[in-house]
Amino acid sequence: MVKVEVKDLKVWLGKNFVIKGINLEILENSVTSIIGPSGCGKSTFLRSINRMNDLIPGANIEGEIIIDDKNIYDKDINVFDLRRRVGMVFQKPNPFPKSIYENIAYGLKIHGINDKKEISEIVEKSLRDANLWDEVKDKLSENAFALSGGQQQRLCIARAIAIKPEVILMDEPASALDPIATNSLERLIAELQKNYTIVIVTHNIQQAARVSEYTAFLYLGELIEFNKTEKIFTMPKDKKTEEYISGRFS
Amino acid sequence: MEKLRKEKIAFTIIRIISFSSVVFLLTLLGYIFYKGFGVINWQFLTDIPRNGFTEGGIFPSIVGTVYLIIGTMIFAVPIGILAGIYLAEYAKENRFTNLLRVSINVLAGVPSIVFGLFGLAIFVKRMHLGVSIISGSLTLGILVLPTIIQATIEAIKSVPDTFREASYGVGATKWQTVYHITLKTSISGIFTGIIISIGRAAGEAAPILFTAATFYTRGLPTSIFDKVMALPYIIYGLITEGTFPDKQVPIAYGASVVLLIIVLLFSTVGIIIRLRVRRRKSW
Repeated sequence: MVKVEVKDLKVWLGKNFVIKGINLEILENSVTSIIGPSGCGKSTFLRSINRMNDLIPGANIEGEIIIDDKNIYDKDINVFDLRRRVGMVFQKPNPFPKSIYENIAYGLKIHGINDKKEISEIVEKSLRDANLWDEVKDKLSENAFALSGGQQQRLCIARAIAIKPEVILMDEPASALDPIATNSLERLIAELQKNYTIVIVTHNIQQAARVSEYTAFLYLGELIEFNKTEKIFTMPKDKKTEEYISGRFS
Repeated sequence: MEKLRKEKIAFTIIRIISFSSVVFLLTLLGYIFYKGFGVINWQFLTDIPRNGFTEGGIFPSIVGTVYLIIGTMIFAVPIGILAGIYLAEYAKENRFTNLLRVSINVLAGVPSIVFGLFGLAIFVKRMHLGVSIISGSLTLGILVLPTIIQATIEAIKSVPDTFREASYGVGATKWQTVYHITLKTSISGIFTGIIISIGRAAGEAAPILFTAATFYTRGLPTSIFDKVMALPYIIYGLITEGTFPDKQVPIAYGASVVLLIIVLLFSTVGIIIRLRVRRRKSW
C-alpha cells in the first residue's frame, strides 16, 4: 500500500531551484533509500515530507505530497500534528540537553500527555524498541550528552518513535557514527520496518543496499531512477545511476 | 632568526600590556581598600549617619542601594528578557527590526548622565513621581535595559539550532520550542548577563542624581515615593560638598569599599553561574 505519494514536487531555497519536479511513491512498512551525490537535494527532498523546509526563510514549495489521501501542503493541515505523524532523525545525533528520560517525555508532554505512569511506560517501550533500554535503564535521569554518539542516535530514534509516528525520516543517521554503532543502527532500522514506513537519506551506497527495499537515485534535483534496491544495484536502467553506484563520481 | 626575534618582541609587548591591566585593577582595589577599610566596622554598616555625616554609619545608603537594585530588576528584567526573546527568535529581518537593533545598540552607548536627565524630565516631572525610589528605579531600569536585551539575545543565539530542529521534529510549536528548549537552555546565560549589568548599575551615581538620591534622610524610606540615600551618591556628596573633609572623606572611602564589595559580589555570583554552566554544558 502506498503511504506517501509525491506528485511533481518542486522546491526552491531562495533563488536555488533545488528539487525540480519529483514523482515518487513510498510503500507502507518499507525502507526507502534516497541516494545521490552531495548537493543533489536529498535532504531537501526528505525535509519536504514533514515540512521542515517551512522553517527555512525563502523556501518555496510546489506540488503535492499525499500521506493517507491528504495533501500535507493543504491549507487546513496542522503542521505540528503532521510532524508528530512523520518523525525525523537527524544527521548528527541531537538529543536535548536534558535527562535521557526527559528527552523522550518531551515529545509526549508537548502533545498533551501528562499522566506520569503513561509517560514512564512509553519511555521504557520506546527505549526498548530502539534497542537502548538495557544500556540506559539504570541512568534515565542522567544527561543525554553523557551517552556515546551511537547511543545518542538511538535515543533520538526512541524520541521519534515515542510519539507514535507512521513515517520516520532519517537524514544520513549514521554519518557521524563509527562502524560498530552504524551496524547496530542498521539492525534497528530493519526491526523498525515492521511497524513504520522509513525513508532514509544516505551517502553510503552499501548502506542503502543493506537496509532498504527501495532506492531512489537523485541527481541535480531530479529523480533519475527509482526501483527495488536489488534492481537498482544489479541492473540500473540509467547510465548515471550505474556510474554513481559503481563509484565513478560522487 | 629575524622572524623569531620579532615574535619574541611582539609577545613581550603584549604580555606587558595585558599584565598592566591587572596592575591597574589591583592598584585601584588596593588604594580604595587601604583608605577605606579602616573605618569599616559593625557600627559603620548598621548605624545611621550622625552629626552631619561626620560620625555614625551608612546603613540607610546600603538599604537605599538595595531598594534601587530591586526596583531596577522589577522593571528591567521582564521587559529585557521578553524583548531579547522577540529579537532573537521572532523578529524577521526587515527595516523595522533593524531599526530596533540599532536603537538598542545606540541606547547602550548613551552616557548615564543623559539617562539621569531623561529620568528627571519624564519620571520626576512629567509623570509627577517626584525624586523617589520609583523614579530612580525606572531610570536605572532603562539604563540597563539595552544590556539585558543584548545579554538575552547573546545567550539565546548560543543555543545550537540542532536543539530547535529536534524540537520542531517532534511536532513542537514555535512557542513550545522557545519556552521548553531555547529558554531552559539559555536561562543561566541570561541571568549571568542580568546580574553583571545590575551590579554595574548599582554603582552608577549619575542616573539617580536627579531622580532618586538625596544626601541625607532622617530614617529609612517608608514608601517607593520616598527619596533615598544611595552609596554612589553619598560618596559623591561627601567628597564634593562635605564641610568637614577630615571626618567625611574617610567615610566616603569606607562607603566606596562597601559599594565595591556589593558590585564585586554581583559579578562573582554571575561568573560562578557562568562557570558552572560551562562545565555542565556538553554540546
